[in-house]
Parts: sequence; structure tokens; C-alpha cells
Amino acid sequence: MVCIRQATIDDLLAMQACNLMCLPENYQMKYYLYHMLSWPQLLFVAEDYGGRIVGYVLAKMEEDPSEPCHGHITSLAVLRSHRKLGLATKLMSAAQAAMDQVFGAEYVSLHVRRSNRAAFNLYTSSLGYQIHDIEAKYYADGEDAFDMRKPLRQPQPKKHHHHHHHGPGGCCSHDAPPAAAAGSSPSSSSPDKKATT
Amino acid sequence: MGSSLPPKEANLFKVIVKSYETKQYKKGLKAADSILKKFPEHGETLSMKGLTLNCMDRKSEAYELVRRGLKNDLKSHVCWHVYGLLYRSDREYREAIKCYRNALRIDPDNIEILRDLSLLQAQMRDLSGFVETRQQLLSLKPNHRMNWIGFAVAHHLNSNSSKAIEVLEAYEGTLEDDYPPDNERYEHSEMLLYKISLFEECEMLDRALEEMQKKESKIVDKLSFKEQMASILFKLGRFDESEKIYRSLLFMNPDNYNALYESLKKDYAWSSAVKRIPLDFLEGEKFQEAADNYVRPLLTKGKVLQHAGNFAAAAALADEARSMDLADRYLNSECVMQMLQADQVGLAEKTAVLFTKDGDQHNNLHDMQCMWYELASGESYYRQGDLGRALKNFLAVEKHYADMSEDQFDFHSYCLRKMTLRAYVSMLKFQDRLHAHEYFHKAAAGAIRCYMKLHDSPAKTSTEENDEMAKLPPAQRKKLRQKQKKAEARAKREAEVKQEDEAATTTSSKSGKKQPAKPVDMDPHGEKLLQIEDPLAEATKYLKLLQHNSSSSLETHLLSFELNMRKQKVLLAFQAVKQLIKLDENDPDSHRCLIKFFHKINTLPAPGTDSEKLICNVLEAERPDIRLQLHGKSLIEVNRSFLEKHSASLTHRAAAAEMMYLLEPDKKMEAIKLIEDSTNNTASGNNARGPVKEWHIQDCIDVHKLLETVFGDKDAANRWKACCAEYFPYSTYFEGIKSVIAAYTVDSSLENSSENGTGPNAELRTKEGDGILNGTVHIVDDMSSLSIR
Repeated sequence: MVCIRQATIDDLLAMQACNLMCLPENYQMKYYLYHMLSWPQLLFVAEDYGGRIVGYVLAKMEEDPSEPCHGHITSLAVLRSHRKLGLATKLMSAAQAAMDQVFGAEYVSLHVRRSNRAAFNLYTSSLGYQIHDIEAKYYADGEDAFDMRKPLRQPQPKKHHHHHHHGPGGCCSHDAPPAAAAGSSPSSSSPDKKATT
Repeated sequence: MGSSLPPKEANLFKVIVKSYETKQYKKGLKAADSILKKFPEHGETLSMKGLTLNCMDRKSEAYELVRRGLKNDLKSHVCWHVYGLLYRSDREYREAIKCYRNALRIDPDNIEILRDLSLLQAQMRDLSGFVETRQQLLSLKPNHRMNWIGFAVAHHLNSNSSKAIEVLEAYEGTLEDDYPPDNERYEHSEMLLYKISLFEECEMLDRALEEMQKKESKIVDKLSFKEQMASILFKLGRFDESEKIYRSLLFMNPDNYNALYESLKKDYAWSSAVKRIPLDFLEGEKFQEAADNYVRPLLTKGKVLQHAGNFAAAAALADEARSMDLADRYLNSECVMQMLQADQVGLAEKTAVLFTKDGDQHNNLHDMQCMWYELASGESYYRQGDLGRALKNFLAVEKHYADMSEDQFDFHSYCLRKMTLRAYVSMLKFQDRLHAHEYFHKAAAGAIRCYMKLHDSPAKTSTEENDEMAKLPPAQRKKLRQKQKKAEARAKREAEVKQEDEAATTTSSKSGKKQPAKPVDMDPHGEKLLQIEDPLAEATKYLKLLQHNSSSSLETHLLSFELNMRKQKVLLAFQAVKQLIKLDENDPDSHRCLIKFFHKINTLPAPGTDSEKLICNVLEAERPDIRLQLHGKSLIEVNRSFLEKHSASLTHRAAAAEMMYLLEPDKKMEAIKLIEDSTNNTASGNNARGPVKEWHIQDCIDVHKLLETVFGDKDAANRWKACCAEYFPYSTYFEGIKSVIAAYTVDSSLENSSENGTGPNAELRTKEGDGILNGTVHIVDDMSSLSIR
């Protein structure tokens, strides 16, 4: 049995371990803390019946006031041993619902490697994401990213919708974060690394 | 600030401060230098220059300047504040607090210093001090939301939740009725949920409920709202209402709800369990169904082989699985793990680096805090006797925990602004038990073992060098030392140049992002770690952390025993024995420690010094306690009854035999026979796949080592090995008949996967069908299969 639930602070170490097991884009613990202490409602885990974390979604709200309110999927992973169970879809749905309900997000965005067909299919077929833009050479190894979006609700009329291009500093389902700064707080070095797959 | 300067210089001084805040250090440095040209001894300028240099990685100059600045202007709160910031940047929190306090003596209402002090007090959990400082801040600036919230949180942390509620209500009293505006709805909602959780904590459940009903429209986090409501109603005994909410929380798969709810009801810690409400489930069958049919057989076989004692073959299989999907890091990680188990560290690193390259050469596993990798590497190096590299890896893990602990610092102010107070408080609690985490435990235990081994047989290189040095006449010795120093300095310079080059190239990378220059590793193989003077003192540091954070672990006290016996700290060793007996008197290692300890005590010469007499008296006074254990019997009798009680268990027999040999060296043959007469019984319990023998391969390896080293009996060791080779035909350690073949013919001999099964509990059958592999084979948890003995 596997269950999907909101992550607690005690899950962060296991989430980091799961990320390091599965994905080439990794983050220091401070970046997980930053998510948990900024948007605790947007972190979910898949836990197997032995209490082991076998998947997670790490998401955030973008806080650039020049953009409409929207969420962003920082990272999503499911252990290979637990794939094809629909866990990723359920994790994503949970995070998206919270973005909508708690923060009033108009849409949710993410980045995915151009070559990652499995993830691309998940986002388009199962979850209804569409390509918004292509970010050339987004990844350190030179691979392009699809900037994908999914609307969560009708845009609010008073706000303008900007087509903003994220710099490579943006975080995405398969990308490393920039300085994992907690707001204006100093000294958070998340060495920016991206891997070759 | 800078008040004693003429206007032009005073302005320049402001530039330094501003540049520091905006991280324009070069600009600040320039401004400082132009003041110092005219006023070379100006204290505050010297201090600020030092602080600026500190940010430019010129640490020793920084301290010198800051100290000189302070000396020149002891009455300046700036100089004291700067000194505190310097200490703070080096994580010397206690010193930093002292400096801030001195600064505040001069300028008691300085808000910046008070705020900095409050952050350190939160970090150091000086909670009463924290309350005091937050109170001062609030009274100085009551119009700041953050100061109200900070004061409330301080009371909460200081175990005064009802006072915290009062403060929050007073704060709410300052707000308009239509608060919050649209852009602060989330923050206000978080504050309300925090307050409600405080009511719940104080058992003021009716107040909590009332508040929830009154403020429902202002709470945007509906999931938390429902969870908390369910929890409060439950505590109020309103089970039906609680259940109703709870059911609505499980929006996807309510079929699982009943069983779960029942089990939660029984759970004493229901209110904490409710925080972990599952929102969705997957059934077991579907899970099985979805097994990944094309890679899993290989991985499964690999793990089966690993358990059968053939790590090399397991690694080869994992590598084959990896080759089927090179873009999948999970397969890569599995493979790396198996390689490390097989002590193929170089190969493992080469494989891992396919996903962890950072820049040209650098491997980011350490930067990304990949602890399973570091632990597994450390353990492999330890097995191979490379203590330097082993220590290097264990200490790396320890460093990650120190960093994580440091990570909380920025959040003390951040969370007060963000209002994520529930998450903040739980983060502080998480931090308080961070070092109890299993990776830390393993790393600390590994480091302690390394240090003890180092103590038992000091690093050869250094002693040999010293021997050689000692032979030289003093003048030549001095020359040689100087030469060595020069060579070291040169290496360091070269490394620094290389580092600058690298920094230059990374800055110009296409992303245009500046990367912090990576410090050059001056000791990549951990050789310097081996040159320490007192390994046991180092080990003691880590032991204290284990005792403080993992006191319920048998291993903690075993290490304490071994370490304190080496340090001849009799009473501390005795404490360890007492703990071991308390935790598990039937454990073979507990038994060993008990016997070893009293054997040692009995053979000590009569106490000579006062302190020896004192120790004797203490032990004498403790005797009645121990008599519970010893029953007034001799150690030989104690050992015998231990053996009788556990005669069916190999590990217990081995412990008893070892102690027999210790107590009665002339009974060596009898002791060895005790081990050899052990029988590998068929495990009880129903195993669908046929009989399984009881003995575990690691235990058998330990016994082999015992015969080889402690007993020093080659023949017995060889007999044991031959016997185990039959039980473990795939084991490379025992050189079982299938151990060689397995490495090369893994795919052919294990190809018929239908027989071997693809499920997580697949057993490996040998062709003859007779020797079902020993032990229960199960998919080991990837992270928990690490252990060193």
C-alpha cells in the first residue's frame, strides 16, 4: 500500500534521499527547508506501507509581483521501484489543488527536459500541461527545457498576464535552484549544478 | 557610527556600511582605505574593514583588524557589534552573544543589535533570553507586526503557550475588523492557525473550536483547517463529527478509511498522527501488478546475490540493469550502491559521476549532501583498512549535519515575516533531534571506530617518518621540517591559483551565474586526518553526540565501552556496561562487555593512588546492583549460564566461547569446539519456498574472523570457512563453489526468471534445488543495508 499525504518537516531528509536516488538535479537541505517554511501546504510525499518515502513533490509559489499569482513545481520524483502506479499524477494533483485553494494560483508552471518523454507525456496527457515556451540550453549540459503551464482558474481580470521568461535560475521539475535564499537572508549557497544524463 | 570623523570621512564610513549590506565589498574596502589613509587608527573603520575582508575570504586579516579596531575604540557599540558578527560568521555563537551584550551595554536600545542577539538566542535555544530580547524589541517598536509575532513565538518556545496566545490576541486587537487585505490573507491565515494550535496545546479545546468557527472565513488553508477541526472534535469526544470531517479528507479512496481510522483511534498520539493523514492510497495488488518487468528481475537477482554473500556478482548484475537505461539515475544509484558493497569504490565513483559531474572534474555528491554514498564509501574504505579515506567520508556526513543545523539560522527572522509559524516551530523541534537521525549515527559510529583503530595501530606513515626524523641530527631535522613546510605551502599556492582559474571559467559559463569558488581540498585522501595526536579524544567528541542523541541504541554504549576501556576510564566504561545490560542483557555484545569489564577489574593491581581507591569504592558501592546480573557467581559461572541459556544461537555461542578463552586461556580448545559444535538449524516459521537455515552470512564471517584473530587458530578458521562455503555457495568471502561462476554467468544461470520470481520476495534457487539459500531474502531497504562491524 502506498499513501499520498502532506509532507512534514520530518520527511525532508527522506525526500532529499529520494531525490538523490532518482534525479540528476539535486538540492541542499536548506532548499527543502526553504520550501517547507515558505509554502508548507505545497509539499507532498508518497509513503509505502513500511513508512518509506518513495516519491515526493516539492512545489512553490512564484513571488514576482509583476506576474500573475502562480505556482511552480520545483521537483517531482518517484522511485523506479514504485513507478507506473500513478503516484506522480496523484502527487501533482495534490500540490496543484493546494496552490489553487490556499494561494489562489491562476496557473502552475514547470520545466522539463526536452528528452524526457516519460515526464512530458505525464504532464501533457495525464495532467493537462501545455508547452508555453522553450528555454534553449536551459540545463548545464546544453539541453533545452520545455516551459510548461497548466491553468488552474480563469485569470483575474484586473491583473495583466505577462509572458515572462524565466532565467536559468528558475527551478523546475528537473532543475537546480539558484541561491536558495530565504528571502533577503544572506549566505545560502546552493552550488548550481546540472548533470548529464 | 563613524561619529568621531569629519564630514567627508563620516560619509565615506556610511559608504562602507552600505557596501557591506549590499555585498559590494570592493567598494567598501576602497572607502575604508581612504579613511584609514587619514586616520590610520580609527577603530570603527578598522572594524568595518575587517568585517568586509571577512566576506572576501581573508579571515586572518579580518580578525586582526576587527580586534585592533576594538582595542582602539572599546566604547564603540559598532566595534563590539562587528566583533560579534565576525564570530557569528564562524559559528562561534557563544562568543558572538558576549560581543552583542557588550555592544548593548553601550547602546541598550539599538534595534539592529537586539535583533541580531535575538536570532542567536533562538539558534542557541537560550529561550528565556530570547523572550527578554523580543520583549525589548516589541516595546521599542510596537507598530511592527513582526515584533508582536516574535514575542509570541518566544513565549511559546519558552513553554508558555498561554502567554503566547495573550500576545497574539493583543496583536489582533491592533487590527481593523476588515483585516487582512487581499495580499496578506495567507499570512493572517497562518497566524490564526498557529494561534488555534496553541489553544489546542493548552488543552483549551472549546476556545480553539470557538475561534475556528469565528475565523473560518479568514483561513485559506482549508486542509489544515479540517485536520485541526477533526483533531479538536476528536479530543472533545465528538467522534461522529470528527469522523465526518476525517472522511471528507480522504477524497480519493475512502475504502481504506475505516481500518485506518480504527488504528488511529487506538494510537495514543492521535493528534500527531492526524498531521500525517493520508490523502490517497494504492492497493497492494495494483502495486504488484505494476512491477517493472524488465529491469526488476535483474535488480532482484542482484539483491539476492548480495544477500547470498556475492557482492561482486550483485554489482555486475546491477551494472547490467543500469546499462538498459542509462538516463535513469535510480538504476545508476542502485548499481553504485552494489559496487560499494563489493568494495569497488573507484568503479562506483566513476559510475556515480555520470550523473554528478559539476564543471569539468568536480563531483557534486558531497555538495549535494549525498549521504548514503558517503556512508557506503566510508564503510567500504574501513573494510579495506584505508582509515584516512574512511574518516574523510564519515566526517563529511557529520559536516552535513552541522550545516543543516546552521541552515536554521536564516529562518529565525524569515519565518516571522512569512508567518509560517507552525512550520517554524516544528522545524526547531526537528533541529533539536537532528543528530538522532540514522545517517548521523552511522557516520559518528564509523568515525569512532576509525579513531579507535588508529589508536590501536597508529598510522604507519607518520610514525615511520618520525622514526626517520629521530635518527637525524637536530640541525638536519630542522632543515627537513622546513623543507616539508615549504612544499606544503607551495602545494597550497598552486591549489589556490587553480581555484582562481576555475572560478574565472565558471563565472563566464553561459548561465552567467556566479558560483561560489570551491575551496580546494588539501587532503583528498584524508591523510592529514590520520596525523592527529590523540585519536581517542577525537572519538570522544563524537561519542558524546551519540550519547546525547542516540542513548537508546546498543551500539552507542558498545562504542562507549570500547572507547573508555582504551582510555582507562573505568567508571565511564562501567556506565556503558550498565546501560548495555539495561537495554539488552541477552545481547552477545552486552555479555562480552560485562565479562570483559569485571575480568579487567579483577585483574587490576590493588589500588595505589587516592583516585584509584575512589574508583574502587564506587564500584564496591555499585556491586549490589550488578549482583542482580552476576547473582554472586564467578565470571566463569556467569559465562556458563549465559551459554546454557542461549546454546542454540551461533552468535551467543561465539560470545561465550570468546569469554571462556578470556577467563580460562587453557580452555582454548574447548572454546573452539564450542563454536564448531554449533548447528545451523532450519529456521522456524512457515516459509513457502522451503526450508531456510538460521545462520546469517555476516555472523558466520564474524565467527571466522574471531577464530582467525582472537583465537589465532588458522586450522579452526579454515575448517569453519570450508563449512560455511557449503552453507553459502555464492559467497565470495567463503569462496563457495558458485562464487566464481556467479560473477561471470549471472545472466545465463539466473535467466529463467519465472522460477526465481520477480516479486520483491523472490528467492534464489540453486539448480539442484537442494540448497535453498540461507536466510530470508528480501529486498533490502536501499539506505539501511549499510553496516560496519
